[in-house]
Amino acid sequence: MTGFERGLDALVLRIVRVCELIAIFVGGWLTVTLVLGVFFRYVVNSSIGWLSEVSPLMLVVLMLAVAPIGFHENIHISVEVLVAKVSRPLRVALGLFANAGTLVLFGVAGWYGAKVVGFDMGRELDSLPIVRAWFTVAMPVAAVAVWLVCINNMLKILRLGDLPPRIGGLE
Amino acid sequence: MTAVLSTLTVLIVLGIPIAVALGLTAIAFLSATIVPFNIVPLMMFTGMEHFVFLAMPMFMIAGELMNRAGLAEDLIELASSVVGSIKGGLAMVNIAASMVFAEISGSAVADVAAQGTILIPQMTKRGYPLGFAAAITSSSASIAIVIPPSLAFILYGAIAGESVVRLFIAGIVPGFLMGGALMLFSYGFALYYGWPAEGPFELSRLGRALKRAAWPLTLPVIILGGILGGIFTPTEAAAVAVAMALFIGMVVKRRLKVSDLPSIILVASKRTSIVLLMVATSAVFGWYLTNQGIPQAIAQSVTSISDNRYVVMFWLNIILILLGMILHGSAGTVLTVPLALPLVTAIGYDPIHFGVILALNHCIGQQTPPVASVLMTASAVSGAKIGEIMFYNKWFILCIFIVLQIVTYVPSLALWLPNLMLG
Repeated sequence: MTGFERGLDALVLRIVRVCELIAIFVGGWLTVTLVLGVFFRYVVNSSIGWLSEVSPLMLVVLMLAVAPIGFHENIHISVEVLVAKVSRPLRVALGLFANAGTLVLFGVAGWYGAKVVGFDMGRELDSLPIVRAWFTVAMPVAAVAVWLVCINNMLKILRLGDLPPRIGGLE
Repeated sequence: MTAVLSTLTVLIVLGIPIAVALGLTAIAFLSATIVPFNIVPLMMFTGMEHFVFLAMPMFMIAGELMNRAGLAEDLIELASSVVGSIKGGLAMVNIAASMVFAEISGSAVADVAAQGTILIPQMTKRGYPLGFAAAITSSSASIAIVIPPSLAFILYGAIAGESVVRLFIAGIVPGFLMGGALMLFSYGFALYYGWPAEGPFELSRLGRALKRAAWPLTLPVIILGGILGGIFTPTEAAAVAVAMALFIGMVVKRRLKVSDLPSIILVASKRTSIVLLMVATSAVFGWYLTNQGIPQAIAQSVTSISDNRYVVMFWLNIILILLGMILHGSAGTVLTVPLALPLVTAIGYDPIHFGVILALNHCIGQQTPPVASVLMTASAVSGAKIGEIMFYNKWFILCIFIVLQIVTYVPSLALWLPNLMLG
């Protein structure tokens, strides 16, 4: 393992930890606000106006925060029937191909997502005086995190000569 | 059309995560058009901006909270006091408990994990083969996919643009039909192998069990009563379920601590987000398909082969079952709804009815290897080998298949109740 690989591995672990903390915070925030929303609507008889606009946006942020964790732990849903049956060198090639594909998708989503953020800097939410860019910025940020995770995955696959095992196993 | 579907299939078969495969296919074919790539992040965001999606993490958190609070034990005791007196009592208990648990968790995997750890050891102790115990736990857990509040219906409703409440109500009769059919098959097994009843029916035992399960039972009452009574939206009902589960777990049962909450939220967030990433990229893919008129072209080519709606639905069911063998339920929904819904509506099927048919297909898909998350969880929980479980499970799969056929060809089973309640 070279110094670069060690450094990248440590950086990815930190990114994953930060993403987990964001996921816990956003998940907790969504839970609390939705419960409060029901309380205010039915008990106090006064709805929280911004809840229906902000909560879905926060859910997108949550999804994007978990995306790098998913690629790090290899828990994104895929069909592994063929991958499990092929020879080791072919499995390595398929693993590299899958990560390269992810780099392309998040490259496009991140690059053009940054342009959308620029556009969203001038768009306020309907219910709050906050620009939409505060939420859409999650796309390019998550894309950078996914890129680092996937590059680390590819280096790991080359180093191991095989696919790393699933860490999470959420099935 | 062929090129798009072939590219997507090849990418998926090569092991690329389905979320990535959907996005990559859309990007590849968008590059041949004048549409700017800004559409990719834009559609990923807008595809997700549905308030109803928030119900998914909430129900997952509620299910996880109840698992950790050990509420499954109370529900199993209640089921035992009601149906334990029938021959093959524990198998009946397993199915009845699944039907109650399904009304709380909305997730078949959560159901099998919670109940399997308690019921499978009890069943093997009473002489039931391990494979059978795991098979009935696995098959009955799938009821959670059909009985409300089903996460599959939330996903389908948001993607297809249909009312989740209507879908929830539409799932009730087919869900109970599935439970009844599984009980009938289990009764046949019990007669054949001579498995005993759990003892005579006692009203006093039922009273004690009801008292013990009173708190967990408030959840389905609030969730279903709230949604079906038009008081709560599905998302609000899910939030109430979380609040109630927290209260029961922390105050009533005292089995949950504040320090448990971050890990519960993280697990639920991960489970939701891996599904939602597929939804986000499928929004880009779906946008491309619609823009090119591909779903309409598929509908036209299929109806030119046969315009008999029953023949088309028969083959569509076969395709969905085959897809279910290699895809997870959520992935199946995300992939098939944009393609199949225009065809289904073109041959005169109600989208709500199709949602129920799709959910029943997922029930079979969760039981058929190689990709069968509920079956795998049952295997992991019981320690039984897949072959051992499948020896019995093939009969339960046949049972669900029969229910699927009945529901497919008798639309009123799915549509009667929502039409009656909502007009």
